[in-house]
Amino acid sequence: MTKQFTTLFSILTLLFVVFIPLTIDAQSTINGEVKNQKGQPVSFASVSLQNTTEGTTTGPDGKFSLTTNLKGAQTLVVNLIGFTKTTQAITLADSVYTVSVRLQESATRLEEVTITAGTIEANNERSVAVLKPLDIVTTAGAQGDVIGAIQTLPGVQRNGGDQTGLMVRGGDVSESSVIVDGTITQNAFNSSVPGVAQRSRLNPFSFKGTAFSSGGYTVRYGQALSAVLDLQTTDLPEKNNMNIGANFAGAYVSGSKLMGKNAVEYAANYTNIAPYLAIANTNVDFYQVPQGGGISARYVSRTENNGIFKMNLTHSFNKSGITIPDPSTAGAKLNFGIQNENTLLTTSYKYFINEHVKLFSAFSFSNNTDKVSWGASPVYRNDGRLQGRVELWYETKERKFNLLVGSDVQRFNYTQRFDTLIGQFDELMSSGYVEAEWKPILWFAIKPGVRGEYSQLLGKGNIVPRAAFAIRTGEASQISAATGMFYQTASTNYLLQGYRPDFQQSIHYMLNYQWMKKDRTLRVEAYYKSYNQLVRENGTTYTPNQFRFDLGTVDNSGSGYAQGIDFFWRDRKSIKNFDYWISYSYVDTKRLYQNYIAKVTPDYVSDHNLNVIAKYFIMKWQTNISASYNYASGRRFYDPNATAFMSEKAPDFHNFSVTISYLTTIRRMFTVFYLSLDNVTNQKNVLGYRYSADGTQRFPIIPPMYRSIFLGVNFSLTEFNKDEL
Amino acid sequence: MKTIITSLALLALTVTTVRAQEPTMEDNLKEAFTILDTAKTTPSLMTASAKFDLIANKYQDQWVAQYYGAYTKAIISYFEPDMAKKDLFVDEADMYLDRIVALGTENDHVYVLKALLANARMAVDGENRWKEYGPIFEENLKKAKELNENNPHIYYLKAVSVFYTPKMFGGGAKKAKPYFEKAKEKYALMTNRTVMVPYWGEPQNTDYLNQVNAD
Repeated sequence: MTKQFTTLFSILTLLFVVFIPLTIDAQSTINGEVKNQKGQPVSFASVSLQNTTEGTTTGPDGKFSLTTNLKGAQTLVVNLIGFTKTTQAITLADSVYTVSVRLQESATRLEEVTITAGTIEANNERSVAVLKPLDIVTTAGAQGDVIGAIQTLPGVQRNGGDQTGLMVRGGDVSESSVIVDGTITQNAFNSSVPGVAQRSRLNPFSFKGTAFSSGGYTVRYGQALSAVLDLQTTDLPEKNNMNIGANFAGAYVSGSKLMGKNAVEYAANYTNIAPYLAIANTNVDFYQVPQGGGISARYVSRTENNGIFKMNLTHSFNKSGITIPDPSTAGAKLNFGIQNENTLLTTSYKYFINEHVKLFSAFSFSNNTDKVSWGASPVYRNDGRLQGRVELWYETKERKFNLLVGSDVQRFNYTQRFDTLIGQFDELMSSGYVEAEWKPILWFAIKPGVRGEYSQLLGKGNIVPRAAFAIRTGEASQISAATGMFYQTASTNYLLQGYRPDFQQSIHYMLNYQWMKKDRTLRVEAYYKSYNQLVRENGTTYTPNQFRFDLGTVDNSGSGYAQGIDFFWRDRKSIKNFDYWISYSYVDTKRLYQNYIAKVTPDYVSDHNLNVIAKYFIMKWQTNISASYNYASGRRFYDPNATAFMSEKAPDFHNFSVTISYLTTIRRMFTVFYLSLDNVTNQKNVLGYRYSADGTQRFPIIPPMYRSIFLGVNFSLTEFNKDEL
Repeated sequence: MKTIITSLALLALTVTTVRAQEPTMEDNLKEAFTILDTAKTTPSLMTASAKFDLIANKYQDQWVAQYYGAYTKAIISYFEPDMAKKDLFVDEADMYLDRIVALGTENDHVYVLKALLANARMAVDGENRWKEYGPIFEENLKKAKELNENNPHIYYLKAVSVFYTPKMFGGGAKKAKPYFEKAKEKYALMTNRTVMVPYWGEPQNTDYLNQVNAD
């Protein structure tokens, strides 16, 4: 290498070296401002050049300044959560540029419309649910019974304590159906005792979802003129656990064992209300203290494709002896003894055939036997039900359209023996249904459906249309409407005596407004319901005895209507750890049915129902206080001396209840102590009056108890890792 | 002369090489991490996040780039007051996590990240989500521990989770203390720190520990 060359090389290198940094140092600056659609500055937006690491963020004034060495055609990207990503082409040539960017709020912030007319859901899976399953369990005055909590919802008639079942929007207890995992629970309540309300057999902790429909419900179900309570049991438990509890009415143990994708759950309970009776003043006498027991076993398996299989077997036994007011003679007492045995087997299987098609099948079997001593007369009752359901659900890729096609078949039989009188019937009810839901746009949904049923017992069928709509009217509000036709066979007491009247019919129309924002919910729903072809007894004299035997000639000449408005307001936002809801229902209803002699408001209806539920959690004391106030305006009763039929009104009903729960951890066991006080003020509610046959004497119909106290404890032990540290 | 020119040229060349060379991913991460590490307010947190986004999107095949992208979004989600937005931030974090999963990277840090995101998801609506996300959080911490029991983040996350669990459910300051102490012990083992190995939470751990000890 020559000296000159080396020097030249060095100089060239030097020139090259000096030149390069100069070009690199030539920079472009992009100054700009980011605004939203309203022209307000957007802070924290990320501003960058695509596929590079050159970027900055906007300041509080929405302004940014980005300096870069890059050249030529570039893409400026502006991005922020809650907004649509915006790009802008820019050619950089070592200069200063000024840009202005408008960001559009992304549509995903707007919730999709959902059909809400008629249905209140308590669901853990959807964040927009009005109630959560736990809310149901912790409602004061509900006594831990699902049905008790449902009674605080709008549209539901307060049960004063003398009726067993759900009474919805002017409908009687026979008009509501309870469904668990797709099959009807024929014996959802403990066997009825005249004048003494019975708890449901449903364990509130076994459900992950509750959908209570006070009308206009889906074509999946039929045979309920008024309402449907649709419950879904929990899936796999999270961990192995065990619960042990004791209270004034007994003791129980339950647990679950998780084995990969399968789980076994078990429960056993023994009830004996002697401790409860020892401190309670009851208005009925127990000559045999109610006691009983039950066992249940459950198997849950998660199958491939997110499918789930559930099987549950429950068997229970109860007996009691109560001295109750004789339903046939006012003022007289009757010894009512009952021994009940109930078996329920349910299975359900959900399986995704592919991404778009879901198969659901369910099967259940139940058998229920009551051995009753009605005064000196023995009564034997038995009913059984076998049912199966299969449905296919298809959803399009964009999830804008789905279609449900299904069928259910139910076979049930009832037998009753009263002394020498034997009543019996056997029914095979088959049905098929199709329902579509279409959301052509984010803010509009329509859900039409049709259901067909055939009753072998009646030799008749029916086909009914139903439809629901929803329109989102704002970020937090929507309007929803539903209508439909519903059929139901006559009550079992008619069928047992061999009467075969035609289906009874109701038609629902409802309009719902719902506003929901940040844990505040307002629901207003107006409805009109017409009843047609109601079962009527002719040629008999009226008696307010539900257990009457002489039903005369029975036909479908009855009719009626119910109209009203329901309000619901819930706020769990305004005060920390404080949650309250208010529900108010007004109903105007009249009907001519059964042995009624005129079209009147029935004796189980209160025109006004108000419930105020409040729950407050005191963090420091680890204590939850729940209080509820229930008001129901006076119910009508039959006074033979009055000029008009069912014109007299009982006093208003008031009830104030408090539940206090103390939550703590004792030796790794999560423990809850609870104390419930029902009817704290010891209000002497009168639900109506019964008159002696000659009309000279009257006797008040009163609840089975006034003030009552209930105390219990629950220990919950969850599996833990011994070596966590 | 020759020597001078050559030396000068060489020196210049060195300088040029440094200046002309694009910063490496590590340099980028370091720059962003410095902003994050000193972030006391939302703006600097957002700035750091925006930087990490750019790095994560440029180096999509690098798990550590995705890690920081996800981590920062999770931290922001804790500070965001709006529930719907909290979820959106965790959604973005999940997107980065999905990339890591797609890359097939499996190490203790990835499981710690999975636990962190489950916790962030739970924190959006704790009352209703603990049942679903609590077990996911625990399970991933367990897996992380199986791979590297010296990862301090495992104990730090567990400690914070116990700290904020209401006392009646077996949580609280007293119950959290041994976890904070264990985390401190494990942080002390991280001596040769580089940005390529995730490291965070130590100052906060110290703060919590002071608070717990003061109680």
